[in-house]
Amino acid sequence: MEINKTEAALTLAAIDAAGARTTQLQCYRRFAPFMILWGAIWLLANSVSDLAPDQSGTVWLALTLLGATASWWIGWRQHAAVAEGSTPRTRLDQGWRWMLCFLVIVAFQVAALAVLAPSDARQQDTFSSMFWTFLYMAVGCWIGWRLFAIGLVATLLILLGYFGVHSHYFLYMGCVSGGALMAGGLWLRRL
Amino acid sequence: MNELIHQPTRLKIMATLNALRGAAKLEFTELRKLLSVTDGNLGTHLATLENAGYVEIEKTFVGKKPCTRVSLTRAGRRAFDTHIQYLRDIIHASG
Repeated sequence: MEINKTEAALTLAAIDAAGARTTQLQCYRRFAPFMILWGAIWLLANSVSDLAPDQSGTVWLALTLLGATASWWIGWRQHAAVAEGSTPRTRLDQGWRWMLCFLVIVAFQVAALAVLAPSDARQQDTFSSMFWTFLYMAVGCWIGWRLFAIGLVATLLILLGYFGVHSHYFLYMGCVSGGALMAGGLWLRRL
Repeated sequence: MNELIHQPTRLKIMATLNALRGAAKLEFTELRKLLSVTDGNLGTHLATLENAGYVEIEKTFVGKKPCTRVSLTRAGRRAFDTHIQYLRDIIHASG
């Protein structure tokens, strides 16, 4: 059986489309556990900020450290599951890269907040949260529309809360924005 | 031309599995959804590819639930790469 140039081009296009879909699926699945994890952390930490403001700083710090450690572990596990010739050393390296990447972003946030000096905790919380949701949108431009949509919905919910919710703002942020991230993470896991 | 790979459904199976990272595997049900084919159709084509040594089918249990996971073999990856090169050569040869 011989095929002509047009048929060959169509076949290559079909191969590219199938491969792109698989790549997108894998990226979504890599992102999903991080999104669920940090959605849960937002939910818990913001709820504490609302219900027990005195404990807020300690709880945010503890949960952020817990989240960073869990992110390292997730990165380590993901690498172990897919890497050919994976060794404990390469898995450790991958885990550290994820954690370092996270710490770089957190360091930027701390530096930005020091420069911008928000006047209250609401502004600080909104800035930090929106930074991540915009990051999801930016990454989504490359990886896939679902990630972009999750970032967009979470950003709109944050802005709605900042401008429209005046009492129990942190509880709103925890439940709605944290919930949106967790739901988004579950959505990313679906085909 | 590798006519075994060139069949449309098998070509999509190979392309999908070829895009998996490293040693990653895809569950049978996920592959079925990605390709929009029936269980029977997918099973038949996978058996053909397995007999040719292009795919590896691993059957395990997650709890009490059976789980079938599929991946490309090294021979499958090589055959697929060769087929893609064959298609590219046709395009380039035609000018």
